[in-house]
Amino acid sequence: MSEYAENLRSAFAQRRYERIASIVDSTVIKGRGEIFTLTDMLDQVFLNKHLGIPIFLTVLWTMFQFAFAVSEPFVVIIEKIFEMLGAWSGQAISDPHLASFVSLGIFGGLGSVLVFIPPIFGLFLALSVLEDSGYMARAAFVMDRFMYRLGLHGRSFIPLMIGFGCNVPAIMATRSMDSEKDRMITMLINPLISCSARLPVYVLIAGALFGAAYAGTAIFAVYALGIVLAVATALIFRRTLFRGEPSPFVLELPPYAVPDASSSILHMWSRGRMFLKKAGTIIFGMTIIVWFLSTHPWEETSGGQVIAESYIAWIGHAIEPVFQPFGWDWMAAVALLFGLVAKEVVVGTYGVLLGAEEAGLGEALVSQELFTPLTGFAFMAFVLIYVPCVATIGAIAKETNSWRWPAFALVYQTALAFIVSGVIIAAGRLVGLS
Amino acid sequence: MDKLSVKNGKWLGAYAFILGIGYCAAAIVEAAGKPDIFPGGLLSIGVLLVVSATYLMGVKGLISGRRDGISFLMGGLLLSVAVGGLYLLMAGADWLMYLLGEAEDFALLSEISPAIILLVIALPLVPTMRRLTSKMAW
Repeated sequence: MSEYAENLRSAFAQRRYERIASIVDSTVIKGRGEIFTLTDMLDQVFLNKHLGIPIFLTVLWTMFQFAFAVSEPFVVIIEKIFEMLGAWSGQAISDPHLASFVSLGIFGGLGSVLVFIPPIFGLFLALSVLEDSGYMARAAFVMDRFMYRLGLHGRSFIPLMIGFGCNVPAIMATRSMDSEKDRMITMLINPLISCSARLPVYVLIAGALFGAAYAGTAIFAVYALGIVLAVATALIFRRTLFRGEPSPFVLELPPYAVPDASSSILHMWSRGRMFLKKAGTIIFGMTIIVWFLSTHPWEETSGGQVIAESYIAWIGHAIEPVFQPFGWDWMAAVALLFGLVAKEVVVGTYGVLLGAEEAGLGEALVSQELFTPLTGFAFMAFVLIYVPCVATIGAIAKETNSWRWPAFALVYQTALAFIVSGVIIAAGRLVGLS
Repeated sequence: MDKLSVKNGKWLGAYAFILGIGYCAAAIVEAAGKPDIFPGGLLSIGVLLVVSATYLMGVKGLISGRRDGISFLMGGLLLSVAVGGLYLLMAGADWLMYLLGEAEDFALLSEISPAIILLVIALPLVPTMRRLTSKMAW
């Protein structure tokens, strides 16, 4: 019945548009390229056949540089606050077990995730400004031309853009797509779009290995890699699992507007608070588990001093051989394992494992030579691609009303992560990088 | 919109040409200063070239007194503000890092990048653009 009603609604909409088109054709006299509004003028540039995509990439690069480079001092301020809290807890609590729990479990693990609030909020602020200005719809339009050539649907672009914030609402946003095949493709490739949860991992690795000058670019490269992979995967799916032409793309371009500061900040907050909520619940819980596993058995680890004797080291060493060809040690294996719950947990895990204060987490990665720029970049790519987080898997299951597709996403993404990271390492070594 | 006279158009076209060449030169200078092939350098060079191309694409239209020239000038100006503004914010962030004791020194001159200089050069266009588009709706 509901399917019948849906078809009826579509038929009415179709007839309505046909009627509008016939009225417009018989009554509107089109000007000869005359520019009427500021929106028309700006569209002439931002939707330009040659400049549209380069300008979009410029805007994207500017956005990431803003989020990473400009937020750096605010990260330092939060680091210093957690440093003080960690030092205070170490001195004020006499019981070593409790002191370890508070300084390593709480301030070490959770603190190392909270320092990423400035870049994440910076990214959300930039996205809000772009949305409020009306440019985001143009970005979808500009990309549609490119995507359609690859056999993709233009409307896929909006859920993919939402995916930069969080893949869960992005997968839900595919409900607006009328073609089931287009919708399935968009849902399955969405986890390849880098959500904000993965940003802390990139910021940590890129900041430590590439330095402030190039970190923003390294992060941009990972985001770009996600987009390229999403497009390529969609193309493969279109030609194999979901054959056929994408349905036509209709998008209303709103007029440009000067973004209102208060509404942009409000949008930033409404997105950013999801990260804060997750940090206070899932990530906090996971860091406590990681702290427990890394400091116990208490006697064997000498009160958490010898992590090599801990439960987590046993787990890490058991799965280490899988990642050894990439040059990653058991800590990376454990971080990736716990990152299945939520990607931010990768950073929290490192925070606890290295026992480093937030300010020293990146330095600890470098000083212990856990990564080279090449293996670090491959690790970032792996985090981008491998298994979507639990919430995303749940969203795909709910939207497809089946566990078959989430299982498929899980398998293909894990396989893709190994392939892409392997290719990065191999290509890097081929040109002489270590 | 004020009528774009040929005289104004030529003047604006010359300005857009200078800015376009300026950004292009800045990209070349940046490329020369980065002998390594790290992609970061290439991307920042690419951004300068995009701004350059935006200005240069408007030159012909401006000289001919066409309005599409103003569109490209306006687009270029917006990109100049975005890119130059970003470099200004980054300089501010470096200054804050120095105040926080995270940087050994802060030299104002080394913070002034070509994108900031070109933004300053482009800013006199703002009043002209406002005048030309003052009666236009969004």
